[in-house]
Amino acid sequence: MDLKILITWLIPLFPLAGWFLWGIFGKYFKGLSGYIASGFVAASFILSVILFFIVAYSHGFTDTLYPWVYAGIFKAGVSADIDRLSVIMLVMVTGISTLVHVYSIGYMKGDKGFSRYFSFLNLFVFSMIMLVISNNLLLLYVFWEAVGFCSYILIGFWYERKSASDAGKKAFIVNRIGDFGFAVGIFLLFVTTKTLNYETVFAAIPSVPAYTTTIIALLLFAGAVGKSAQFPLYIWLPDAMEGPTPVSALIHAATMVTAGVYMIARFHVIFSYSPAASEVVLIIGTFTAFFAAFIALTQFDIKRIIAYSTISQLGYMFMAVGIGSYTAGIFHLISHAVFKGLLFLTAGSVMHGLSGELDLRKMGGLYSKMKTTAVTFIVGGLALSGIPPFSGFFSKDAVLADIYNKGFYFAWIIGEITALMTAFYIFRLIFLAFFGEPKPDQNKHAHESPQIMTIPMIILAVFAVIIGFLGIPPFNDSLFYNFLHTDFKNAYNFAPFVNNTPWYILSLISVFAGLLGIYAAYLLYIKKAFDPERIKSIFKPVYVLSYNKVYIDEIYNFLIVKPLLVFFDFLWKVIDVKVIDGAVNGIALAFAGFSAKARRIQNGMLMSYILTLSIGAAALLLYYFIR
Amino acid sequence: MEALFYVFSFIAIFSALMVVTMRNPLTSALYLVLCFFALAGFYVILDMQFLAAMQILVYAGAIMVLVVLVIMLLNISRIKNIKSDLHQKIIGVLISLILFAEIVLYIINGAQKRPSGIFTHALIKRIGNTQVIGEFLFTGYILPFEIASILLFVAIIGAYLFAKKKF
Amino acid sequence: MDNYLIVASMIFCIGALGVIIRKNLIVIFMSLELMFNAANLGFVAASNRLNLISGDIFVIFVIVVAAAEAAIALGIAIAFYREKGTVDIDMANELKN
Repeated sequence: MDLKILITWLIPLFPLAGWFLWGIFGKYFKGLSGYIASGFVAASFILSVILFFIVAYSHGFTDTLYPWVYAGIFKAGVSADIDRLSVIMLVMVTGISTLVHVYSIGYMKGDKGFSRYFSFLNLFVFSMIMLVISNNLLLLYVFWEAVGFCSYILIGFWYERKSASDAGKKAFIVNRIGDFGFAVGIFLLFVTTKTLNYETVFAAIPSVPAYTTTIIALLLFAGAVGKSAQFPLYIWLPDAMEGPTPVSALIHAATMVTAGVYMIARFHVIFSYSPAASEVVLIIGTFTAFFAAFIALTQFDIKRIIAYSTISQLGYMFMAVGIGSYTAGIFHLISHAVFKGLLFLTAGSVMHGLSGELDLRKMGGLYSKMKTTAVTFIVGGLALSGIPPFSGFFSKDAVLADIYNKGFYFAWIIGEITALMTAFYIFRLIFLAFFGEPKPDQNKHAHESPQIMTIPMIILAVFAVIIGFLGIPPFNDSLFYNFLHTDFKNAYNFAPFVNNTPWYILSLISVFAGLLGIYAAYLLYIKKAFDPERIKSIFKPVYVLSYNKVYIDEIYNFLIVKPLLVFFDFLWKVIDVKVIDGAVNGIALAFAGFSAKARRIQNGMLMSYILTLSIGAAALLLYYFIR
Repeated sequence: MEALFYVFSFIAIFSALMVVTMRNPLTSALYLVLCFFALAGFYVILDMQFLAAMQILVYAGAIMVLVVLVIMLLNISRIKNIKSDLHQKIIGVLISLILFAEIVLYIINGAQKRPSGIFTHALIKRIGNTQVIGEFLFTGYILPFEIASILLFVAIIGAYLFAKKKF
Repeated sequence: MDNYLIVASMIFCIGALGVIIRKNLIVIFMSLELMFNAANLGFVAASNRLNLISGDIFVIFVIVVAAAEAAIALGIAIAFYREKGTVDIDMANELKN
């Protein structure tokens, strides 16, 4: 076997082996399982980097490990499609997974589900790797569901807590809605093109009628909306913060939730041949970016703030892929994975230091007690706000500049406002938590986390600074763009550039928006130039709306959950109890009566059994004879 | 050949009937041995001397000796007087006759198949039937052969367990 | 070949008759052996007719299985006799209920 093919299949093999090992023999390894699991994922990471350079200096390839389902024209193998997009995703997924694994050793220390945790985490990494490298839609769908399942078990990891298991169920059920659309989209795609392999599908798409392409693209996008937590299916992500924080960092910030963006970038041919569907992607992305940032403004739970920020940043990525700027979307995906993973890990470190405290109102002045955490958090916050030279500046501005230059001015304005709000809410969090006076009811024993947790944070912080430089010279001439854009050469250019505004003007506006947000947070929470309470009372309706998350959960409860409950109540009380139970009991009674008669045949006499047997044989022969 | 076939057929069917009808199981067993010898005669006619030898060695030699031994082991006067019901007999005869008629009908109406193999009489005679069987048994049928040996081993253990005084 | 098959089927039916009408466990066992042998004769006759060898091989396996069966069946007979003091098959009625 070729070396690169061997490497390709070794990458998912390591986490899979880890899953088996910790799942079955976990209790014999005790604390060791964390270290070995991290080692396994690190091995995958090193192999991914090797594969990255192989692909970067030669070209992509496909390989089939074994034919999985070959039935008639339906062909789907366990096969990998390694191109530049998938190696970038591989390096990102395995790299962040490695750091999160190492971090988890410290974070989960002493938990009784230690080995179970690492088993699930390894299973997730395996599924995510397979999702990224698969080369047909069936395999993609299988692992699309597998990562959703891992997300479910990891959100509900502390299943003794009702809120955690409820959050897991909520994530699973909400994802189900999107995945239903996704599955139907795959069926439709198969019916239309008679194949599920990427290459053949993409080759067939240009000749498919536009409205069919649009329907397929919209159905696939429904899956992305569910998985990537976009409006209106975003509601599971904030609740998913019930899981362990490293899980939030890995699954609900860096990797799984970006699968939707990856999927659209991967199926860029389908989406670019349907401008209408792309427009829907853009609208949903823009709205979600603004909406989630608006909710994040007033929340007090630090993990929820970051969760809403994730939803908002995912909105940016969907804006990028919605206008056909796939490289910009993927670039923002990568840099967001780094700095959002960093923010979650540091938030976890704060929780660790304050023994699980999440409420901003009970924090203050933590800077002096946890310096590493505070510094890395600020790095993450600056990257999120898009302040140069941090990575968020390059990636977010690449997205926003493309939006402007392609003539989507309204989306651009919303994007800039969102950037302002983003900078405000993240620095509101920083100023409230790390500066100012310690709060009276604060945990007195706040302490820095152990090194095994801080080192991954520092590494991520370093990357949050330097990864942005892949984006120079900015925008459509950058290293990253030149590396990746060949993968998207088949895309139909449905949104050509209409402006040629130079990048520095556009970034100046974005940076200004970011700085304005930071300054506003500074004025409100450090200088206390205005009393936040007064601002609150002036904008009371807006504040209440944001604080209560625009009542979306309540609206869903009223519009969907309540009627369903009434309907299911009817199903239970009338259909189930009366009709189905009645039928089942009736059948059971009939059989009881019949068997009371039939048991007489069972008289226990061997001779009569033999006799019956011979009569049966004779009758059977006769039947075949006269037939 | 033809004459031998009819002689053997007569012996086989007669002794088979005797096996079924004799009151004393010991008599039945001896008639069964006779029947086995007649079948061995058929095998000789059909060019399978090796099988004939096996038939006599294993069936007549080993299995029937075992049966006779068990009959001796049990109290013969107590097992001699086990009577069958009359209606059972009538039904049994009826069913066997029907079964026989059906099978004969099948044999007569069945499609005649052309010989498809290569092992003609002449070839088997030239190579020797023992060598032919041996080669097949130890090449193409080696796996069933090994499994059969495991089966025999299991049977030894099983028989021991059943015959033991207490389970 | 038809003649051989008819003889074989005749022996087979006699064996079946024995299984049905006799109540002595050991005689039933012997009738079963008769049925085995009828099948063997059919195998040998058919493979002789079709110039094949697999039928003969199968006979060897049938003999092996019959030997194994004999060991088990007679073991059961002894155990049964020890339990009931007879080998009357009608005494084996524990399956009832």
